[in-house]
Amino acid sequence: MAGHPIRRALEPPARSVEAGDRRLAGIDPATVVRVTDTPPGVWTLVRETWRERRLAPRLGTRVLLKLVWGTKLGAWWLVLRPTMDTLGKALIFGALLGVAAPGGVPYFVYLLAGLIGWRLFDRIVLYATRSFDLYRKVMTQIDFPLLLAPLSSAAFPLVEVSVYVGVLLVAVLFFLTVHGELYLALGFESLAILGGLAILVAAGCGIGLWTSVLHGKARDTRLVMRYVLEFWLYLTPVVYPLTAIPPEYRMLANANPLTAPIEMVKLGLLGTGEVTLYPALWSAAFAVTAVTSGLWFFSREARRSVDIHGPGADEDEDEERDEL
Amino acid sequence: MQNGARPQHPDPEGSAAAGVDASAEPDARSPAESDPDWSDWLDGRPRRLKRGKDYSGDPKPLVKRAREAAEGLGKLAVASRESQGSYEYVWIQFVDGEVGLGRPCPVCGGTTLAKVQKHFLRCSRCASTLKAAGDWDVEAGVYAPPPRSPEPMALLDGAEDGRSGEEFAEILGARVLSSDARPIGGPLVGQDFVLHFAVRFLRPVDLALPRVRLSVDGAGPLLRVQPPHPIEPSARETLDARVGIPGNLLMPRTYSVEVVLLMVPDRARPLDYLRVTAADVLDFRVRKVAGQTLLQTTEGSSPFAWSLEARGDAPA
Repeated sequence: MAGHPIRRALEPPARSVEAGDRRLAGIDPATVVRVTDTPPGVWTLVRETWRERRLAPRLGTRVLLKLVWGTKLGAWWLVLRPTMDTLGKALIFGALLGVAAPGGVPYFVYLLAGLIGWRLFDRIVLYATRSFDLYRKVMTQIDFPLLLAPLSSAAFPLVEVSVYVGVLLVAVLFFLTVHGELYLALGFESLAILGGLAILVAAGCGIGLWTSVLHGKARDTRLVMRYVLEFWLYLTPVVYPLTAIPPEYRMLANANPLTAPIEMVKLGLLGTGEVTLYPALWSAAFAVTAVTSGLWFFSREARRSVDIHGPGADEDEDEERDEL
Repeated sequence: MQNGARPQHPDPEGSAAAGVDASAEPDARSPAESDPDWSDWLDGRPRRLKRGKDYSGDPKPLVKRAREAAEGLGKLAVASRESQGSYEYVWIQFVDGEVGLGRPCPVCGGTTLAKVQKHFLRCSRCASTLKAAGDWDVEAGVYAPPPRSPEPMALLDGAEDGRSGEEFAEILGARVLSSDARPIGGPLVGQDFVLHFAVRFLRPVDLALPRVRLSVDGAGPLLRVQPPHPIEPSARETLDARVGIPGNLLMPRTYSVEVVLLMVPDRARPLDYLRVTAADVLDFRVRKVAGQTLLQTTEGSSPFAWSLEARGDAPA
């Protein structure tokens, strides 16, 4: 127990005793204080978080500013990262490995459509995983719903994906000028993008709820998740079309719950995705399960996870040691 | 903010309907140099203030003012500083109080507290949000009260000032009793008598020390009497205090009685004591008997006999 020296001298530490402990003999039972640690229910967690939803954007900007602070190019990195990511993959898979996009769509545009869906999921999981690190100081010094931490960290992925969308629009305009053909799907099928993104956001948040708590308990989680997500990226038809997978393995590909939403995004943007009912339902069920189980796990374990990290667990805290 | 209902405060959504945008930063409408309306913060919700917009320069003066405002409103301000590159923020939240390890709820005296976060608890009885004093790490368990300080008198012996503690106790009144406990208007010179006064504790405090001051004709205190040890009321109760005063101590004059109650609500913060004063709570006259010689009290042991008796829970 920390405290001022005067306080320590005046106040010997309280004694933690068990009920029935003989050390309780002679102590007035009315003066014994019981501290309970009952996890809040999921509904309580959600209700309290909704009540403080106004804090989410304020917390979310932290991730954004952390990315660009201290860099020479500053906010340009918000544009450069998606652009370089897409260019690099387009060079390797499109130019070197010769992966072709279906329907005559330029591979760069096709890749961008896939990455819009994938990066939304990927970034939500990664930043949610790190969220206890990012907000730990505030989380322990101010009483606000812990669920806001992983959910607020989804703000940055939304910004980054909007940059991907911007790059896609520029690329589409470029190819419209060069090829004279508009590669965007502007029809009823465009609605598929909403379903695809909703599933990806839900799945990302659900997994992020698990990994944010696990990361608090074991910081290896973040490193493991990087590799898991990288591996998952190549299992999912993002850089290649679903049709490139041999038919005998197509069922396995559809067992991947991210296949259908990624295809839905491609279908909605370019009209080239292959979306069938059962894989889509399976993906939606996966997302719902991820969210509900994530909320359950978070409500049970988040507080303990925050407790585990000692001061200095996050390098970002060093600059904020100044006590008020 | 989990685990149990919050205390009922005005609904921010309701205030929005009344023309106050509660979803915005609380003092977004205020210029950087002016403080927000702290009474809005009684809802216990955290706010983030931005340097350059809501305050200028060092946030410490702002936090200090927030703490003072919270104290004035019967709350406790907790704060956290946040840096995001060149942007600086300070989070401030008004909670209901602070509780030491093994101590009951300072608001209602409840002895079951629910952990909310690492350094926050919520009283299961009154739903007050409490900060762990000294940032002790909240862990579930059963805690016996801390051993009493061997010298609690030292905490209050020199105390004179202190902020107002009307929320914690009130002085109900005083009267003069004869030595056989009959109410009398005033003693004769040489007649031992008892000053009886009652104090009602509205909230639990760790230590309390009543004092009686007698003065004559508005001059400074002629006599200051206090018991040898402070009392340790652990619950809401009414205290009957009686101090026996030797009859040969007072000159035949009219005396004004002032009762002062000094309190330490939390031993963890011994210097933060409270004071309740009832000036001129009683006037009485010491009447002289013809031909009587006045005696002086001897030095050394106190000539005053104190009796402090609690008579159970105070009425609501």
